[in-house]
Amino acid sequence: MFGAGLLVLLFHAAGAVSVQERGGVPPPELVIDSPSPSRAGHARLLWVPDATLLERDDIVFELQQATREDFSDARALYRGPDMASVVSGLEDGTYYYRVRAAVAETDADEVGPWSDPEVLVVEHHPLQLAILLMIVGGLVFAATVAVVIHGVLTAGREDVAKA
Amino acid sequence: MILGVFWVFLGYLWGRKAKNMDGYMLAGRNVGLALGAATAMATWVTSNTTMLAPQFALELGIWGMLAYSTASFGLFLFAPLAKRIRQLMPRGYTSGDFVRRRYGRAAWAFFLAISIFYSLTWLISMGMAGGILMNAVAGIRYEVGMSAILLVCVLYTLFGGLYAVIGTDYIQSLIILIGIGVVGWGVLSYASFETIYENVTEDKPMLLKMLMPAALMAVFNNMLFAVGEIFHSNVWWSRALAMRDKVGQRAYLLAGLFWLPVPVAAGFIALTGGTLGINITSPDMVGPFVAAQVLGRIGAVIVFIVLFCSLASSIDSLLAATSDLITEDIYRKMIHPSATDRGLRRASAAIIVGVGLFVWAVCWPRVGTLAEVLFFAGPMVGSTIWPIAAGLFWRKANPTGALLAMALGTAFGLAAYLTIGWYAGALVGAAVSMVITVLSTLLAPGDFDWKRLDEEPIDSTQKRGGAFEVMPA
Repeated sequence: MFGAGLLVLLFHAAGAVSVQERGGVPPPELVIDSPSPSRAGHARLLWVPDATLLERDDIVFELQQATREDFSDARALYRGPDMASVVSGLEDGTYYYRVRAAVAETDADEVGPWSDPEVLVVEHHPLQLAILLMIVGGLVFAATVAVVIHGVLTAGREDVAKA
Repeated sequence: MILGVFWVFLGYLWGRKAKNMDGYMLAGRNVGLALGAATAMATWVTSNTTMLAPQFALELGIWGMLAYSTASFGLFLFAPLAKRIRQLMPRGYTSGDFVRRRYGRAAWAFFLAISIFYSLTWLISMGMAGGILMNAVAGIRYEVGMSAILLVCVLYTLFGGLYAVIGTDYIQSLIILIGIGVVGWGVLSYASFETIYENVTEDKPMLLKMLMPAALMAVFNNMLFAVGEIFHSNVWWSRALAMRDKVGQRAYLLAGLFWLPVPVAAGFIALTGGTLGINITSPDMVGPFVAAQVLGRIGAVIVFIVLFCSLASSIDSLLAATSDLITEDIYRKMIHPSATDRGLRRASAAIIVGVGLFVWAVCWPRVGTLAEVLFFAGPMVGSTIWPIAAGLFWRKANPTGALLAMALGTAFGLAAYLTIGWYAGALVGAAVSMVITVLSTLLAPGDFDWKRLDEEPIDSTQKRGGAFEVMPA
């Protein structure tokens, strides 16, 4: 009996017992609903909660963002009942995201484990390409304005000549 | 429901003024300056202005917001074109009429394909937006909301033709301007410019960068997309032909001036979300969502009304213009040249209903976001800018050059859209089209007689000839 109890204690210590048995909330599944790498520094993050949580209205989700894989510089982006969030305005780099569920307005024991992290790579378009396209666009626009103005003036002269 | 019933009633009321096809399709060619400017402005304030402009700001920052507002240049540049169109085609009906008479059958067919495809994608994006809006702001299921807004617009356009479209646009434009002003003032009362700036600098630093690559690309791409939309689409040609002589140019200039601040105000609202601690769950809903959260129930109602008006003012215009294009260019010119006035009116009504049903069926599964749906048409409409502008002002522009410009502009533009992104497609399409139009005019100049553009109006007492009858010299 003593041996069996010892085995159970060892099993708990190894963390092999499920979250539900510990009384916590299971982690949601996190998905980045945007292409990676992102060429404009924005993405939409979605998380799908465990089926057991869908009917509950006291669950909140906490979303974190980090630039290090170990989340040592993590910061909270959102805490609330929504199941998606848009991030934007990110500079070039690699960003890590994770989310967890918690029972609202209770102590920390009811906070669930983090989801598997998702990685978003941000690689903005080369600035040279952007400037080249901007120059091309400016030329096309200027030429279009010129053809309209010239056309109006020429048509005006034709009308005067007919009169 | 009250709004919907009201618009349908107005459609029925104003529709009684339309005694013939000129009345139904072109409001009697007698629209004055106030109505003309209002309808142009209201039609250009679409759900894209109120939902996509904030998305631009959220994803591309300050440049994105300004990029969206450059669409006003489409209205400014079309102003002198409106005058020219009225001069050359005082009895014309559609942009397709112009292309057919100016460039011939092949270019006409390609142009029609582009124009109808663009009109349908725009309609689909509006339909989807209606469903998204009703769901987000009023909790109505997407399918129900989308169906309701399409039904209301189809009904009052069916009853009233362009009279109803322009009349309701006037009311909708006033509501939109007042509503945007109220929401903007309300948001500013919660957050100052300084706190918004600090928050964006800390959380979304790229949004304030002047050299953000995607945003830089979006500036001229969006401008040229808008110019292409307005230059080619029958939505704007029908208005130019509907306005009284000498009114069109001023009306379009005024419309551009009134429209310019709307996307800036809408975009600004999106940038306040972080400061106010509002979580954005979908980028195309950021504008209405922030406004509704900040202003509470009243704000939600205002947002709902403004968005409903912006949607309705564009859906009705598209339905009317697309129906006119298909009735005149396909039904009358290709299928039933001897159709009478009454027959054309029936065909037009059937086409409005048919287009409405098709759009409804495509909107039902809700595929893609608003930006993806609409900007796919960017390369095509960008490629029409130079054939249209050159066709109106250069005698020497030739049909082969126009066709090649549209075809190759579309092809290269789509390649840019798929390889670089949606913010390059229209720009590349317009650039390629410009080069081909200019080169073909220099290498093989034509000599077009402008008188060939003036066509007889639809007359119920006359039988029509073949689809490609040539006007006497």
